Amino acid sequence: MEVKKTILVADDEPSIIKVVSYRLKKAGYDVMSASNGQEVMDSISAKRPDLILLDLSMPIMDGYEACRRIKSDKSLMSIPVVFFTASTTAVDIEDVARKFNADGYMRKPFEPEELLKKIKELSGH
Amino acid sequence: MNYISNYSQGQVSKKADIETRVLSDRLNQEISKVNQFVSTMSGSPWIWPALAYNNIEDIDKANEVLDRYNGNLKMSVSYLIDKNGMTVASSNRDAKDSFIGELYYIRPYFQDALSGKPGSYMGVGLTSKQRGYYSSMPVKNPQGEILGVVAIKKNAKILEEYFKVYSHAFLVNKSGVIFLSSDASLVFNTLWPVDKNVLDELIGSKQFSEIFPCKPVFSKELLNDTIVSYNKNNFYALRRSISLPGWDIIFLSSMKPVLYYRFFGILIIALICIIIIIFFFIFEKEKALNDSNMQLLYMLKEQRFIFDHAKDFVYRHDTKGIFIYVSKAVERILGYTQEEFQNHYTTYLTENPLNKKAAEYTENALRTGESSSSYELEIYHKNGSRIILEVSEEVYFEKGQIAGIIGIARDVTEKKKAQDMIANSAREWALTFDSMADGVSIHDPDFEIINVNRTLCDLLGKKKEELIGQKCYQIFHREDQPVSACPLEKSKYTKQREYVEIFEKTLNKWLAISVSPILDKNGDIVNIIHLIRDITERKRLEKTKDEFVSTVSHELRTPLTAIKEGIAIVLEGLAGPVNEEQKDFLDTAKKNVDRLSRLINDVLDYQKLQAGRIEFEMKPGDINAVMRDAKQIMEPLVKNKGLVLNLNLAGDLPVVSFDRDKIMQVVINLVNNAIKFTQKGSITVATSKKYDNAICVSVIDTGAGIKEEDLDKLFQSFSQVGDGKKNMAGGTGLGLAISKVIIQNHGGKIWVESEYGKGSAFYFVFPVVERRRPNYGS
Repeated sequence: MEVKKTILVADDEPSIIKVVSYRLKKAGYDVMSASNGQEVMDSISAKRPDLILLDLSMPIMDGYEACRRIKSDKSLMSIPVVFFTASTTAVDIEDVARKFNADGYMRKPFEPEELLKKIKELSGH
Repeated sequence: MNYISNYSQGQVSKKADIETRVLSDRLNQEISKVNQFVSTMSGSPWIWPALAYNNIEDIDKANEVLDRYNGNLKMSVSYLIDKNGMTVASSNRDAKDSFIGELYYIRPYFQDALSGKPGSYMGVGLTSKQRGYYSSMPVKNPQGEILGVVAIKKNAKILEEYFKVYSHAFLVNKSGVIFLSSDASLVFNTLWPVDKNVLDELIGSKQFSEIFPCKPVFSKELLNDTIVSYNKNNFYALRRSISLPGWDIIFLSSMKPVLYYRFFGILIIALICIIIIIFFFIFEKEKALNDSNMQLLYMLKEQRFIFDHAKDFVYRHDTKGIFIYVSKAVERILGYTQEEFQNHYTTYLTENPLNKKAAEYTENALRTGESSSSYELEIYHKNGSRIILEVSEEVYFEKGQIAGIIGIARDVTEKKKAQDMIANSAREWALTFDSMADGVSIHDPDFEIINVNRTLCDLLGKKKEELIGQKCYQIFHREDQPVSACPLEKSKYTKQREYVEIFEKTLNKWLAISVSPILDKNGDIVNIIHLIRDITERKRLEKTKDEFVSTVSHELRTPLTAIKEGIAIVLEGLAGPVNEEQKDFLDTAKKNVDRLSRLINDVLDYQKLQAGRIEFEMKPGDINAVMRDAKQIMEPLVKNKGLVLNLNLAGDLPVVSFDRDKIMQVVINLVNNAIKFTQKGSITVATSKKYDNAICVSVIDTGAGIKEEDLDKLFQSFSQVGDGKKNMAGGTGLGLAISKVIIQNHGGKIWVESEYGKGSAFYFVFPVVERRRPNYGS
């Protein structure tokens, strides 16, 4: 039996966490969640996820800062980070993702197949 | 000496001859006149009856005749003598020494006439003792019988007047007795010695009265053309007979003062010459004077013409300021007649403050005598309107005293109005220029600032004087030469309006700069108008709007994501089985969520594209490759609808720079539209070279086509054409508007050709030449 991959879904919007978590769980992932950057940092220090689906616009600590911290921490930088945002266009998000050393991006709203494909690709399954 | 004498003698004789001739002619005329009168009277029918009948009535009639004829003679007496020698009628019958009753029987003239021949006689009157010339004629009755004599005595003093004009002229009888003389003292002397017998006979005749001196002047008888000595001087003597027999004129011409005479002659000639010369000069002068008079006249006429027609009038006022004279043109200019314009000058002035100065000038001129230069004043026209006069005045003097002012006034009302208008418009323009919201600078072709408005000064925090004359790059960019981004520099080459928006760091402001070259008729740049608008606030608002749009879209997308995902989870059956009916509704919901999602994306895209804030990544690439990729993407959709997608790609296309993703977006949009509006047939995507330097892409379908009236609206945002909602499935109404902006940003053009019901052809072209968008700002 294959070990379940753990995905951290970080979003300040509970309904997003709800539908995305449901989708990922149905797809066979373990799902952790966080509602801001600080929670992301706290939870990954408790349990290392296989991928972080990171919303950018969050209170307390936003996604950019969280990404910067993860990618600047040698012990954490290998965790794939996927920007998950509703705020910018494709061109912009691509640049931003590159700039913050994120491993990928996913725009909201998203196509479920694309999301699953990206997660599978980046998490190794 | 002898020669000179001879010569002189000739001169003298000639002169004397002329003078003697003149003298004798005059004497003869007088004698002849008297003779003629006597002759006429003797034949009168009123004369002879006085002698024949000797009654008072006839004598009266005779007297009338005598009076009438005698009236025409000076100092003479006409009288009638009967055959006894007694005077019966006379013109002097009422005088003290009347001839009436006197006896003249012894008189030779009476004797002659009584004997039937005319009588002529020089002698002294028996009654009057006055010298006279006597002329007589016999008076005959109609039968020819002599009844008496009619006579006229002419007083010799009248005749002697002719002699007095000469130095030495005499009337002498054949014995040399002087009867008439230029020298009165010589009368009744003899010029030369007279034989004693002759002398006695003369005395007895009583011809020369009782007084008879007999001292001869010359020793011998004077003959014509001889030289005689008189008073120790030599004279040339001329002797000429007159019409009265026995009587001669003796004329003595002095020999001594010949030279003097000659000199006198020369003098006279010289005098005549001088007179001629003087006359000539006077004449010439007069002629010149006439000429100048004419010129003066013309000048006056011209002046009058000018003054009558020009907007000028001339005036003169005395020291008190009362008009003495004003030219006629005042009527035309001020409406007053010359007569009405005789008051003090201030009575015509308006209350315009201008006039205070004018009055000062005038008073000052009258006080100091110094003429002022021209100035302006305002005067009432007779009709009440105001006339501005430009006045030039000068003080005039009489006998060294200031007598008043002479001046010329010109109506400058219209000119003034025009000047005011020009000044006003200049002021208006300056005010407008300075109060424009945009900063404006005017440059010469070499970037130098010719003029700046206040707005620009304020914007730059500098004074006008600091800016004029400077090069714009020194001011705006603090550089020593034009910067490459400078639209002014660009405009110099394109000769077209150029526009940029830049963030000026030195000012910490966003500026929109519009540059318009002004060309002369040869197309050369004369000036460049540089418009600078502070768009910092606009930029701030734009940013706010962007943030707002971004926030709104984020806020829209987030719930949309949850809705979409929720529907998807249910639809996929992850949350339990779904029946077909439920599935159908969930499917509809999903499609609309997707549409809403695309709409949000398109609005955001379009807004950003329009604001020019989406960067285009222009890279050289193969346009055909884009078409192939697009086909790959669209193929499933096309097949899904049972259509065919053809590629018709040209092989010789030049390499062009373009933003791959954006061009792809346009092509996909066009193909998407084609699919939507085409029910059967094919869609053809083609590339070709256009005009050697452009690439043309076309998307042609065999679909519904577009009505002609809708073609224009097609590229507008949210335009909905065609038959309504059924064709709009999945569309946002922004696709073509976005495509248009993208193509325009490539320096190209997009358009459509369509035949309704047969299909549409969309084309876009963009040039091979790299067209870089200016990249300013953050």
